[in-house]
Amino acid sequence: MDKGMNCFHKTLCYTSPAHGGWGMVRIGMSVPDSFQIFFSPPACGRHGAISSVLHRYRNRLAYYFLEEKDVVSGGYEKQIFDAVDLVLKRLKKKPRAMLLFVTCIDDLMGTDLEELTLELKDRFQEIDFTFCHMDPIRNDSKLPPPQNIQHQMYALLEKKELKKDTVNCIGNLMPIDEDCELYSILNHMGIKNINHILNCRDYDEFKNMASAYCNLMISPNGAAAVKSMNNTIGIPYEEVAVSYDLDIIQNQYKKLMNTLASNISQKEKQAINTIISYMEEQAVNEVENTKKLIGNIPIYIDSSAVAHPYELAWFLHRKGFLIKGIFAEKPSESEKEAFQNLVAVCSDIQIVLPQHPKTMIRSQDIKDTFSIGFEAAYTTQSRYVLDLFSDEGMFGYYGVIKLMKMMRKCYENPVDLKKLLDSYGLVV
Amino acid sequence: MYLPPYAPDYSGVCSALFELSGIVVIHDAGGCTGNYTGYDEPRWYGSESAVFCSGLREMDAVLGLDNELMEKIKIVCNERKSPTNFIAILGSPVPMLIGSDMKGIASELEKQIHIPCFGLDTNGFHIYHKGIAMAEKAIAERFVKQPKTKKERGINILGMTPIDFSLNENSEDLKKLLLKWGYDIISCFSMGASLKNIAEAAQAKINLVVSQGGMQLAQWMEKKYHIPYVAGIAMGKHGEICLQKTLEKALEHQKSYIIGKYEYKKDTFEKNTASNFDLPKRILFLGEQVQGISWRAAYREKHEHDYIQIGCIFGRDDELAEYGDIPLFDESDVIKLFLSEKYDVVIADPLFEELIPNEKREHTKFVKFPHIAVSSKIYWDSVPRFIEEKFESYK
Repeated sequence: MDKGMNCFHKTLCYTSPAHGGWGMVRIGMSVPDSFQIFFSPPACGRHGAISSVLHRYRNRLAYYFLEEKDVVSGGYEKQIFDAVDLVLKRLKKKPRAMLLFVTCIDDLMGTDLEELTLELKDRFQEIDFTFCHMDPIRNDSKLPPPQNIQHQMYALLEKKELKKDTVNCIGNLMPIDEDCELYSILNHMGIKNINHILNCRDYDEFKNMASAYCNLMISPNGAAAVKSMNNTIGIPYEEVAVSYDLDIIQNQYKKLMNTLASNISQKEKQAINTIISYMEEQAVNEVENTKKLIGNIPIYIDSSAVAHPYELAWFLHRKGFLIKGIFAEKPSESEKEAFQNLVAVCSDIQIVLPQHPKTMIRSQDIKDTFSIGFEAAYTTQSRYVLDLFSDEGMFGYYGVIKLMKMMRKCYENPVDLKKLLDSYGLVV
Repeated sequence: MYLPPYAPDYSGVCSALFELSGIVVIHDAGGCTGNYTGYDEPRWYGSESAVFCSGLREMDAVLGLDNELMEKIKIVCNERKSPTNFIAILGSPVPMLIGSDMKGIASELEKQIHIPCFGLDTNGFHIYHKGIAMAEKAIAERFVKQPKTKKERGINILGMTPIDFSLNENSEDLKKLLLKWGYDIISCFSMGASLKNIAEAAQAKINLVVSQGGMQLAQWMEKKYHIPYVAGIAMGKHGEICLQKTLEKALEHQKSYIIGKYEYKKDTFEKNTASNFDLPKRILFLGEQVQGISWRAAYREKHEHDYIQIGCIFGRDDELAEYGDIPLFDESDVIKLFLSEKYDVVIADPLFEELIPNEKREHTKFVKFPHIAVSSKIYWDSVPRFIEEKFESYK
C-alpha cells in the first residue's frame, strides 16, 4: 500500500462486504411521522427497500419506478403529483411530512425540485415536503449525499423564536449516550433541552428544534445542515465534531463555554471545570490501562468507525499505541495536520483507500491485529474487531473512555466479523 | 408499496460472469454495484471475484470522460497478478441517460489492451434474467468453438446462477442427477465452469435450460450448433422422473422440449378453470418461470387434475408458458390477481404473503418459497434444496 497523498488517485472501486452505513432511507426515517417516496429506476430502490424490511420500516416507504421513457423524455413531474396523491389516499394515517427521494439521473436531468416543492405544498397543504437525494454521483461534490440528506431533513424546520435554554445536536445519526459529560456540562451552562432528532417523539417536537439557541455540529455530515439553518432560520452553530484527542476535546469545551456560558455564575463555571478535570483524568487512566492490556498489537483504523480516523490515529500514536494502517479517503482540512504528522513519524504506516481494488485481496488467515472499523477488519482479517460505526453515541471524554473500554472488551472477547456485519445490517 | 424491486439486469450479468476470472466493471456511481455485491450475490463475502464500480461522478457524465474509465480499467488490469480472461463493461441508469456507448468503449479498450472486452447495455430498468441471458450469450459468442466431434450424451447446463439456485446444494444436486443418468456435463453456464469448459460447449448433444436467463443462449445454440434443449429442472422425486423422460425424448428425437408442457386449448382451459367445476385444488406458483413449470410438471405426476397456474413475476416467456400462465409486471398486478381469483394454495417468496387480502388468507395456504431476486439476503439462507429427492413444495 502507498503512503502519502499520492495514494488517493482515481481508481475503479471495490465494494467490500463490510462497506456501507445507514443508507439514505434509514437516515431519512429519523424525521418522525414522515413518509418517503422514491422516484427512481427500479434498481436504485433495491438496497433501500430490502433494508427497510430488515429494519422494519417498510410501511413508511413507497416507490415510484421510472420507466426508460420517463428518462428519455426528460420529465416525470406529473407522476410525482399522482404518486403523492395515490400514497396519501392509501395511507390510513396521514404523514406530517413527506421526503421525496430522487437519484443520480435527476442531477443530470435538471428536474426543478424547488418549483415542485412549492407546487406540492400548494396542492397538499396539510403536509410538509422536502426533496432528498440518493445520488452517489455527487460523492465528490461540495454537498455529498450524507450531508445533503441532513440538509434536506432540517430544511423542514421553520423560523421560530430562539430559546436560550435549548440546543440541538446535529449530524450524529444516533444521540450521544446519556452518560456523556456533555449533558451535565450543558446543564451547568443553563441549557435544559439538548435535542436530537431521534429523541423527538413526534413531528411537532421535531419542528420545535427550530427554537434552539445553538446547533452543535457533532458530525461533519451535519455541516451543510447547520450552515443552512444559520442562514434560513437564524440558528448559530458550533463545530464540535466527535474527537478522541484530549487536547481537542478540551478546546471544544472552551468553545462551548464562550458561546453558551458567558453569563453563568462562577459557581457553575467551577462545577464545569471540576467535571472536565475529573473526566479528563478518567480518560487518561483508561488510555493507559488499554495500552497496558493490548500492548504493541498493530492497530488499523477506518473511516466507517470514526469520522476523523487520522486524528484518532495521531492521538493513539502519541499515547504509545502501534498504528499500522488507516483505511480512509483523503484527509479533510481539519485532519491534514494529523495526517502529515503520522506520515512523517510512522515510517511504515499504510494509508489505504477503502475502495481500492487491492483491498479485495484479504490476508490469508486471521492476524493478531486490531481493527477499529469493519472495512479494515475485513481486509486485514484482524482477530480483534471493534464494533463501532460512525462514532455512534460518542462525544467528549466520555467517548474516549467508552472507546478504550470497547477496545479492552473486544480484545478479551473477540467476535466474528461476519456475525457483526449481519447483525448491523449495513446499507450501501 | 410492499415488494422490493427485483434483482436488476446488471446483477444478472455479474452473477453469470462471477466465476470466469474476468474483470467486470459496472459504470456507475456506487449504488448499483452495491446492489449486486450486497443484495444479489451470496458469494461476495470472502470472494476475490473482480467486480468493480467505475466510480462515475457528475463531471465524468457531463464531460463524457470515457477515456478516464478506460485508463482506470487498464491500471487494474496491469496490477492484477492472475491473468484476465476478459473485461465486461456494464451500463447503469446514468450511462443510459447520457447515451454512453458501452460496446464502443469495450471495442476501443480491446484494441488497446488485446484482451477480449464486452460492452453490455444493462441499465437497471430490466430484470436480472435479461442480464444472465446477455452475459451467457456474450461469453458463448466469443469463446465457444466450432466442434470437431459431438459427445454422445454431452450436455450443457444453461442459466444457472445463485440468484435462482442459491448457494445451498441445488446446483450440485442437479449435476449429480445428470451424471447418474449417464450424461457427460461439458459446461455449466454459470456455476462451476471455466472458460475452457465453455469453449467445448458445442460438443453437446443437448442443452438443459434451468432458468429464464438460459433461454436466449439455448435458442442461439440450437440455431448455430443444432443443439436442441430441454427447459426444466428436477424438483423432487416426481420431478426427476419428468426431467429424465423429457431429456431422453429430446436426445432421441434431437428436438427441443419444455418440461411438462400441456398444449392446452382454450376451451379445455376454460373448462378446467370454470368456477363451477369441482377441482380438487387451485394452485398459484408465483416466481421464476422454469422453476414454476418444473414444479407443476412434478406435481402433475401425482395430482393430474389440480389446476396450477404460474404467475410469471419476472416476465412471461411464451415458449415456456401454458395457456393461463400470466405475466405479472408489478405488485399491483399481483394484488389484482389475488382480489379477482381464489386459490387454495399459493407458493411464493415470503414477501408476497402480505399481498394476499385479509379476507382470503384463511382459505389460502401460503407456502414459502424464497427467491433471491425478490427477497435477497432476508431469506437467502432459507431457499430450500428443491432438486433433492425428498423435496416436496408442500404437503
